[in-house]
Amino acid sequence: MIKQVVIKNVRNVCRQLLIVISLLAGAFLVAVFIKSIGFPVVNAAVVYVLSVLLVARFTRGYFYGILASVLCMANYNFFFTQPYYSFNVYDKSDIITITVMLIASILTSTLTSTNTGKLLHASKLAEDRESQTNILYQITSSLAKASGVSDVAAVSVQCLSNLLDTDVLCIMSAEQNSSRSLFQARRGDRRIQISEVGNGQIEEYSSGKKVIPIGDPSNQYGVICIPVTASQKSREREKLVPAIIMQIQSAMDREKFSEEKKIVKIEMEHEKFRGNLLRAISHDLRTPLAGISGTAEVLMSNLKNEKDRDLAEGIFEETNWLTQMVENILSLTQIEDGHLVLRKQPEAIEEIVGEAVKHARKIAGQRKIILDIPEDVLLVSMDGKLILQVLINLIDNAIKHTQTDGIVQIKVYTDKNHVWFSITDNGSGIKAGDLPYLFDSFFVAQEAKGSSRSGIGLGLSIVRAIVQAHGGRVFAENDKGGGAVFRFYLPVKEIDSDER
Amino acid sequence: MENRQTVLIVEDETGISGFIKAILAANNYDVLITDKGATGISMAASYCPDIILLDMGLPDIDGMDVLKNIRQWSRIPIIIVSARGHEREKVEALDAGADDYLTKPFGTAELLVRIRTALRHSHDAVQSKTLPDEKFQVGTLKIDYEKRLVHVDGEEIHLTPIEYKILVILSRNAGKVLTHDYIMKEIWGPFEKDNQALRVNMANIRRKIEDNPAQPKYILTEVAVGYRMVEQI
Repeated sequence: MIKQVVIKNVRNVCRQLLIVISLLAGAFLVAVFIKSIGFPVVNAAVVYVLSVLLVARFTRGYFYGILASVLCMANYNFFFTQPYYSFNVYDKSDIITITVMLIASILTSTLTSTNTGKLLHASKLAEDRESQTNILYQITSSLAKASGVSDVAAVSVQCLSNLLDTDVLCIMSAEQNSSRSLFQARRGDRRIQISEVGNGQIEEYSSGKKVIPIGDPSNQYGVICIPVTASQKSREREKLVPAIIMQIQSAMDREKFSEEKKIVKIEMEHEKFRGNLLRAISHDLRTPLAGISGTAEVLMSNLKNEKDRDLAEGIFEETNWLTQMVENILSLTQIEDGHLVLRKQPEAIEEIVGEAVKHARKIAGQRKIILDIPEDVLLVSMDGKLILQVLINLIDNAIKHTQTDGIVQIKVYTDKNHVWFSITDNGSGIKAGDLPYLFDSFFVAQEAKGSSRSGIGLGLSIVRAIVQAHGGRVFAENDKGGGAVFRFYLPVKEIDSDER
Repeated sequence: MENRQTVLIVEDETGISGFIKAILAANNYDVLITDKGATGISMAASYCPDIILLDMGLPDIDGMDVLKNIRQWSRIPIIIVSARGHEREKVEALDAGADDYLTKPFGTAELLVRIRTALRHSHDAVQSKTLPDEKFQVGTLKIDYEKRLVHVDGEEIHLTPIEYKILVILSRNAGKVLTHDYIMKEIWGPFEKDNQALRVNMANIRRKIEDNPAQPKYILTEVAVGYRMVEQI
């Protein structure tokens, strides 16, 4: 290698010297010609200055220019000043000529070679920059085509390997305890090796290499390992590596975000599918259920045998319970999918609460229902049917959790901007541990599990969804007296402003 | 002795039409069944049933279209049957001329009451085009239309003119559900869109005639649909 460089240098020097010699020879011949046809010898000196200029133009560095100047002057002195063929000078004016010529030619040659050098340097710089831009462009465009973080990693090692003409490794960060992926590009090989490595092997791969991380410490995608090289060219190109790493990082960012987006989208579609399925099933169940309950009711009145009548009644009651559940599922899926359109209009609170109480009395048995609502007419903007459902669910819940002689109290009161509804029972109350989950879908209190008609825990989540859709909130707590209190409020402001 | 009355059931679910038929047959009605809206229209024309039970969700044409079609040429009472949660549909059907509605699942008693009420109203309309009743009574509520007097428990009740008008409309249609829009149109004309006035008047009427306005026994609330005055207590 070194030998090659030396040979190259020697060759270079020889070529430059050859230029010097041939130009000087040319100048000498022209000078001889000028002298022979009888022009003054001073013209020959001018020709020599020209030759020095040419030498400086076609060679690199000051050395050859100065060398040419000295040689020229020596030559001129030797051949064209008296005494001829000697370095002595008789005429004083010749000394001035030679000295001035020498200074002039040295100055010219240095100036020329400086300019030439600058020009050459600038054009080389431009070339370098162009090639760097090209490389960056190629890498950017191939990174842009990559899809997926691991694809980006593969493209990255390939590009870096091509650029630096060496082996490049990329070790990705571990994702959720799985082993790390290793991307390996060998010099001169277009294929990328992908393998899995354990955490322990990282040292083994990265030792003795330059390790460059991709990404911030908080969000690191992996590291790139490049062998420490000595080659001039690759060292030049290594200056590009930080820029390329930035490109790789942003490509990985992009791919990571798009992957995350895709996952979210898929999850949303699953959720939607689940909701649709549930809704379709519930919808299809409700009609046959209506048929069954109706038929059972007919049987109840038609059958003569009392045992048969009891059986029919059993069917009737179970079907009604099932119907209730199917309706709950339907309501919830509609609310959750945003299919629910609130048909808000001013409703008199007493009408809605009155209907809820009417329903409560039907299922209350021996339980006492106490109603406490304001004397004044209270109009609140709401979807009456849905708020009725809220009240019915809360009352059902209260009745379910009280003894047969229990008391359920329904109270309506107002504060400045809200109308409050509270449903209080004197049952066993709510376990402290259950309170946070009470309104979650499919939550059933521990002690209620196992009883055949515990429901599937949708009633209260429907309550919350409907109340929230109205811009209200619902609260559950234990009463001082021991029972449970469910309270919710609805905003009331818009009604008063435009009343007649 | 009355003739047996004919009920036409337009319903695509055989489970439901089956048990309705069983109930009606046991209560001395003749029953016709079809599962298509188009057939329903032609059967209504050819058999002239006394009442039609119309399901809103039919496989061939929309129940609403069947209703509108029949209403173009006939006053046969029509009771629509619809699923829970379709309040808008019910109101539209009532405003398009349906006489009443049933929400699935419904019980035997409810079905028979609705049919009887609808039949009687159509009967009244045919029989006494000239003079409506002069008096109305349900429970202890008495309305004397001629003297414009209202009594509850023998005590005279003072109503504003609008309250009185509302009470008259409801009592003339006792047993039937009247939509908010219908009542508002009757009282305030076709351009009143805000139903707050109706709510407030109704609340005041109830405070005057009901023992407990939150648990009315004379004028029932049909949430999101309208009001219904009871025929008997």
